Amino acid sequence: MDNILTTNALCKQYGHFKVLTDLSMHIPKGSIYGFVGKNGAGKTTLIRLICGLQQPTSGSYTLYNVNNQDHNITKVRRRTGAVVETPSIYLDLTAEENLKEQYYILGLPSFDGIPELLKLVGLEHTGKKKAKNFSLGMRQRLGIAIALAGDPDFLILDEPINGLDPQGIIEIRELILKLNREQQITVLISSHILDELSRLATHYGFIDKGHIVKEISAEELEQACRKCIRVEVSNIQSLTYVLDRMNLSYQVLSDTQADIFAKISVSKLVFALADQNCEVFSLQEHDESLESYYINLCGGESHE
Amino acid sequence: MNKLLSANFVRLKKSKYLWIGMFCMFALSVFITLARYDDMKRYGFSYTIEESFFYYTMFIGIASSAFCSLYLGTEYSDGTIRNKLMVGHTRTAIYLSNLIICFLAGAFMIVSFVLPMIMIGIPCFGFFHIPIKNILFTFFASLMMLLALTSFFIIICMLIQNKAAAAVITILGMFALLFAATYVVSQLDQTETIHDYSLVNGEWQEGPEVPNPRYPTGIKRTIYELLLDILPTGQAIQYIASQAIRWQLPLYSFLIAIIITLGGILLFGRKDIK
Repeated sequence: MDNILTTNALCKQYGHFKVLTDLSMHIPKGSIYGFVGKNGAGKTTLIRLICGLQQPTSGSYTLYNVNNQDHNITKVRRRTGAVVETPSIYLDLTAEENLKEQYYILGLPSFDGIPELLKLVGLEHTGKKKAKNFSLGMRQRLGIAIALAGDPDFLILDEPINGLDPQGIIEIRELILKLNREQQITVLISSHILDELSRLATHYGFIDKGHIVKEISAEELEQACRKCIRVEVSNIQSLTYVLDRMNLSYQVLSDTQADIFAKISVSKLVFALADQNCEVFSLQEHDESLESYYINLCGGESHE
Repeated sequence: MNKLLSANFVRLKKSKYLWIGMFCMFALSVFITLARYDDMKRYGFSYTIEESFFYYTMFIGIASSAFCSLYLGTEYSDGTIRNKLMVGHTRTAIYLSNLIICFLAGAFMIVSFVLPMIMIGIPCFGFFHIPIKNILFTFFASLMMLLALTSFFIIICMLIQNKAAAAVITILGMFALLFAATYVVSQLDQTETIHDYSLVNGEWQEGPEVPNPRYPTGIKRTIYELLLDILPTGQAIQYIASQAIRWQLPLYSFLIAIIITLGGILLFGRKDIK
């Protein structure tokens, strides 16, 4: 699969403080890439670099196969849209005026697309109401509309659901899914609201201390987080023999532990193992979520 | 850059800061003209239109400093400068388009001063007594002075992301330039000699003329004269007196604008934007 964005050993340093260290990530075309990390892990800094707001200290990135040192990078940026931290909107202009302003910046010849864009983000009835009187969710949606003004193939959203009410979160989620499915827009979405991200993302990148710890597709993650029963026994060979005879899928974790990916009759299993002189020490239902996966990966000692 | 200019121009038309600035310059022009006309009628003073015509050179810097910081500060406070960068506009284009728009805004404010001055001033004081070409030259030179001042305000506003801090620094910077020019003028206006006074029997008696120790001479005087010509506010003082028909003044302004703008583009190009 082609990558829209690839970063190679990207570093960013403010004074002596390293925010990003050797960060390498790959965003496949057509994906919704969930960018997960604690506050201060470097998510927004990376997004600022990709958007051209800041320059990397070292390393490089390629956007649509164009290196960031190449002067054509400014041209390919035209194919991206972004909302970084807060929506970039003129508060003393209406939604329509804000979009017109962006159309001028992009040099678009006509404003014909504006009503459709306003409808897409659900702001078609805002009329002469100025953006300063909008709710947070409305501002966020206007920010997304501005990011979409140039008809981008790649949308970057930095914490788009922060501070939104449940209805606002649902609206933004529906919008992102709609854009991805109907317009094939690749989305990079950074968030630390993991439950919400798990409803959207097709790929994940986990960042910790300025470094990508793991990149994984949603399918791989589902496999890794598959519901299972973790069993600890005295003899792993006996366990595998019994499980093979019972035709159950499993994964051996150690000399004493294995995960069984099936619904089992505990008493049948225990009796079968007892016949093999194998003792059962423990049986635990194991259901790993994105959250527990993230905690295992990045550690849970820091609280946000 | 045309795209940025059209976007900025559309926003400029809707900018309340521009309209407030233009209204203030208009009101100031009407006030100065009518106040002088009133003096003329009441006390028999004699005024010519050119004595008030270039008064705007003193005020345009203050109006422009406030405008630039508020207009450009919004780009940072609302975060909209990011929209320009993220769609691939170069930092040089963004910087230059902001400079051009702020210069135009200053020019509109000047026009708001000059138009009522012509429309009310000519009927009140009569037509210009100095050649029109001199008036036109001074007008052109004052626009160059505005360009130098605007480039000074732009570099501050583009490099300081905090709107309030940028506003305070530009306005204070403008007043510092005004005080500097006033000080230079006060030094150059020192008389070459002064009367020596002595106290005799409890009464002051005027003695012979002696050289004024504060009168700047030699290199010191040359530096003061150069400063008065280089400082945009020093130029403003000369334009008010309609006594600066020298090509060096607009040239200095133009050079200042070029140097500050080149430095500004260089620094803005390296700036980390949040």
